[in-house]
Amino acid sequence: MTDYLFYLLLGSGAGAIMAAFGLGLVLTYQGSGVVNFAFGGMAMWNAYVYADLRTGSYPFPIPGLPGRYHFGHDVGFRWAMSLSLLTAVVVGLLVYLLVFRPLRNAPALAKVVASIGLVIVFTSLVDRRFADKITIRVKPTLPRRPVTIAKGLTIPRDGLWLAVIVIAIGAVLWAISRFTRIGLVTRAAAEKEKGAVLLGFSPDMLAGLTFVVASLLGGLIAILAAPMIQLSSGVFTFGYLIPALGAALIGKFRNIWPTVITGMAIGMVQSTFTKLQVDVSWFPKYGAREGIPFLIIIVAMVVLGERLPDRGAVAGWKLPAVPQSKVTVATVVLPAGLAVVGLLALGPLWRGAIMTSAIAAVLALSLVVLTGFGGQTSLAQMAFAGIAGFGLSKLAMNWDIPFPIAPILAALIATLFGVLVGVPALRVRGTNLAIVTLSGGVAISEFIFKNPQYVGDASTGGAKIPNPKLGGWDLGLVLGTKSSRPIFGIFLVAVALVLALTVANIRRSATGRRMLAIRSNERAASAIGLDVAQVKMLVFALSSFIAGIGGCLIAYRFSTVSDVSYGTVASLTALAVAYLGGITSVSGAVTSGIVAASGIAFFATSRVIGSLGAWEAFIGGVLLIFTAIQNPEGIAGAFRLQAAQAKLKKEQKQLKLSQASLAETSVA
Amino acid sequence: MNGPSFVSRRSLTACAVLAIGALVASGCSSDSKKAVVTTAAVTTTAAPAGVTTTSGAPEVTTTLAPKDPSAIFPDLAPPTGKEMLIGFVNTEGTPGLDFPDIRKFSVGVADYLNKHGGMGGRPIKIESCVAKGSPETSQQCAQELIAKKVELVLTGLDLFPDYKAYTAAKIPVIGVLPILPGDYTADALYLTGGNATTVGAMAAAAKNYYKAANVAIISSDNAGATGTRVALEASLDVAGIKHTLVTGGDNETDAGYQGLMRQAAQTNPDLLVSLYSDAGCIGTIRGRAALAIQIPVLTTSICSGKDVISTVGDDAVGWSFVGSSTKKDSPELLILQEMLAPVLKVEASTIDPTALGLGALGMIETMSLAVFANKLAESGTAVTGKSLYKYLQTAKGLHLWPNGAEIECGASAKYPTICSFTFPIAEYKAGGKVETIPGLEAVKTVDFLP
Repeated sequence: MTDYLFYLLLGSGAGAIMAAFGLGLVLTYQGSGVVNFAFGGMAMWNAYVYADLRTGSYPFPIPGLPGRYHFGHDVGFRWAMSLSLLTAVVVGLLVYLLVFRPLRNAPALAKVVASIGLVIVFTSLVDRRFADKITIRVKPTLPRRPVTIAKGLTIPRDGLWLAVIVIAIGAVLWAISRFTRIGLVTRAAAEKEKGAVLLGFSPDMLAGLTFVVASLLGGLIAILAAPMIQLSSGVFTFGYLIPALGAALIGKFRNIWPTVITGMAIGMVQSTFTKLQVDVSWFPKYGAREGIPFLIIIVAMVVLGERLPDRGAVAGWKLPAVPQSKVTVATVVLPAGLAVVGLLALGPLWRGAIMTSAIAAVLALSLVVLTGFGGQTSLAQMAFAGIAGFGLSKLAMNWDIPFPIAPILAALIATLFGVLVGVPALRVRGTNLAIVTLSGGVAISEFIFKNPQYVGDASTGGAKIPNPKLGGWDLGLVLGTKSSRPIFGIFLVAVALVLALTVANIRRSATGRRMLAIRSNERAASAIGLDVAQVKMLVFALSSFIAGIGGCLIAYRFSTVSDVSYGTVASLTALAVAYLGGITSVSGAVTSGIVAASGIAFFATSRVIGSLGAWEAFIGGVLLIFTAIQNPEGIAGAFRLQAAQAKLKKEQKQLKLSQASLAETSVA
Repeated sequence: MNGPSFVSRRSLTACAVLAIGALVASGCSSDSKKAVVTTAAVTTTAAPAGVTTTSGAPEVTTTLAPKDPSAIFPDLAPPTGKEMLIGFVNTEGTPGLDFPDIRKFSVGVADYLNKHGGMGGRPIKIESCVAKGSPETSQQCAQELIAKKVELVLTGLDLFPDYKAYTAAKIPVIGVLPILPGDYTADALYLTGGNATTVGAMAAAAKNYYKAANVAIISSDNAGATGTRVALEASLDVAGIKHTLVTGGDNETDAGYQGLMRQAAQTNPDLLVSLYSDAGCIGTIRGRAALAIQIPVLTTSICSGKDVISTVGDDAVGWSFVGSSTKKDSPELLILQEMLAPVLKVEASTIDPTALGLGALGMIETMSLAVFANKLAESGTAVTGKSLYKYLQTAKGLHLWPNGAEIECGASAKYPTICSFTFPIAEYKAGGKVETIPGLEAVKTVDFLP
């Protein structure tokens, strides 16, 4: 028993970080309705600022400015802490004013996309400003000397201190929330902004304030925790953020104590896995540490779903309008024809860009069905693609199942997982569902993509994929001495075209109308006799099948599959790209394909203006945020709007002309 | 479509630093056999014999004096043969996957070689291509380099080299460090063995030096570490050593590492093997010391880095490092410093070979190939990408620059791409020194590969 207590207490430091990050997410959400996926990134930047100050310099985050101001010596704890916390305040304020304030009335999905852009910005900032020494061990801040609690129970003091600090902060925030006017107003604003206005507070000011306080909290904890871990660009960005999202979710994004307790519990229980894995023979060999907490969260959310007070209303998960689906020569034959001409006429680099665009369009189509038509959210699309990719390798290499049966079976396996991850959608929605699916994606990555039995290892040469062959016809990208065969690109375009037409037909069919009805209002749809659960499962199944096909296309293109291609960040990026293109229409999916990284637009831009150098990722992140702000309905939506406005102008002009001629006639 | 991967950097870094530790530290540490070069030993003349180029360019004979080939460069004249166009693919610019130093060091080495002998008498032009950590960009690089008709492709850290395309275009690929499982069986050569050979060295040392019957492994459970751990278990099986496993997370606090060490020690093994890197080095070393565990620990050279040792001090007593060796001055150190000073924009004498970071990979790769190319030229064969590749596949007695492991491409049928199979092992000595363990200067791994 003492042993388990030892491990529980050892996990208090990690748990405290998760709890603090969970609190920060709750605060931000309460004040602004934003689930800030960049919270960890912001905290990370502040920790790096502190670490840099302790070595005698202050890093500037703006490209073009000098890299840092040099003090020439360690500025000392007090100055370093003060300047870092001041930085946290400025960062919190700027992030709100420049990114989330302009997005106040935008769909929640736009905010998710903007926060992904911010993650890229902060991570690339660290990569650039700390390029020479990205992993930093910070000098201890909290007392480290071990403390003996009982016989055989001696543990480092700093983790306990951090836990006490986080609990104290939780208590203060709880007291503010319960007993002060500002707390009352913030809670009122979280329910309905008008409540805050009636109480004489600006919702804008409240949102800004919560961003600043959350940034301050995240920065403080990241600085205090930095000596216990090693700073790297990923550790706070995702390492502790994803469990913190789970804690905030259990706290329903508004309750302080459940969030703190869950965060602490995840850290402490994870610590006991060190002992459990030896004591319990059936303990999972792979992925238990990160995977099991998320399975628990998924199960908890399914069970708690009906009791969530904000059911159906959390975040006002508004989605862009779904345009009519028109299958015409201009919308179908022209783009496909141009792609084929490009594949045949252009060189291998352009060919590669067209292939990337075709695959990205397929992945975006999966999100069009899921989010655009079905109103559901998934941050695990690439995990489904990965399931299919690895499945294809097993089916084709180990069991010699031929094309096209193997990819279809692989996509069906992905469909099974899609339905499983989608089960919580029957009970939770919007932001909550986004986080649950994120957890599902993490669980898949942990339990499957880490297991060499599924993904291969050095002795098997990894997960290999044979060329697709139809009869005696090899459709592979590389064959003999040909290293970039257009036929493979045409195969990709054909698959994308078939799927695009299928999705367009779904939009026009009775099934599509049922999906749209449920997306608009579940209760109303249910009232008119629609089976909401069945349609939701269908949406998840279709979407994950298409994602699975996308995963197979990726696998065929590269002849091998790796877990690196299908991680959590890849899923977030896929959603961001799909959203940018336009998540509610087939044309949006095609646009997504065109603007995807390494796609046609990307390649063309790099040809025209060249590489943006070391700051490319940073600039890409900024552009992602800018586009999310400027075109909350995606690029395709913006084009549609422009076209509609132009048409209206033309009609008005024609009307004026006819009125004028009518007037002339009557005068005559 | 792939976003940045924050997990992969950890395993990538682990592999890469391991190679650097194994190569640079040992390379610049040779107490050896070599004397400082003081006289010009090379003449470069146009002559019928010697290096034959593949075109009508002036033929050059580079007569190399019988000196240590790794230290001869300062005396070589600028190359005058036909320019050799070499592609270099490296991962840069993606958050978490940004290793520009590897390319910069390689280009710096090329600049140096263009003043000192080139690649077997041929000047070099490096055609760099930056992959962004996704298969798409690696494939794009392959197409770009094929279109530019490079005669050899070198990879720095490229996660997804498009081997099939290079093979189709008949362009040989030489890398410095295999990363993913597919690299071990690809149509390419890798100058170091990555995880597979490291774990072989661990098993060899566990059996022959520590005489261990039971080993406890401490490892992270990320995908990269899992692959290494599975390989280590297989190597220990080959050595007939029993093993238990304790896995921890990627983002453990120091307290978490302490827990891992305690759990691992509870099975009373003869030896602990830690596969942690980065923060895990400091955490596990401190954890063992805090718990006063006396069982020796074997880990990788990542944990013998200057930063780690200066942080943990004598807490590292009892730790040994695969790939590390005693640091001493050598002629190669002077070359290295001269070569890298313009790249790092610092005084040559201030360059510490053990603190070069990942950039050292580019240096090791390009310089090693230059040594091999000079040997090839010596043998009277025209130096081309293909001939160099072929030479590397079959040649005996070559060593990685500077004075690293012996080259034995294909010595293991299971890992046909790997070219080096020996590692030095060093231990921490009280007072801050890491010294080669006598008898473990070159631990052979071939018999213990998973």
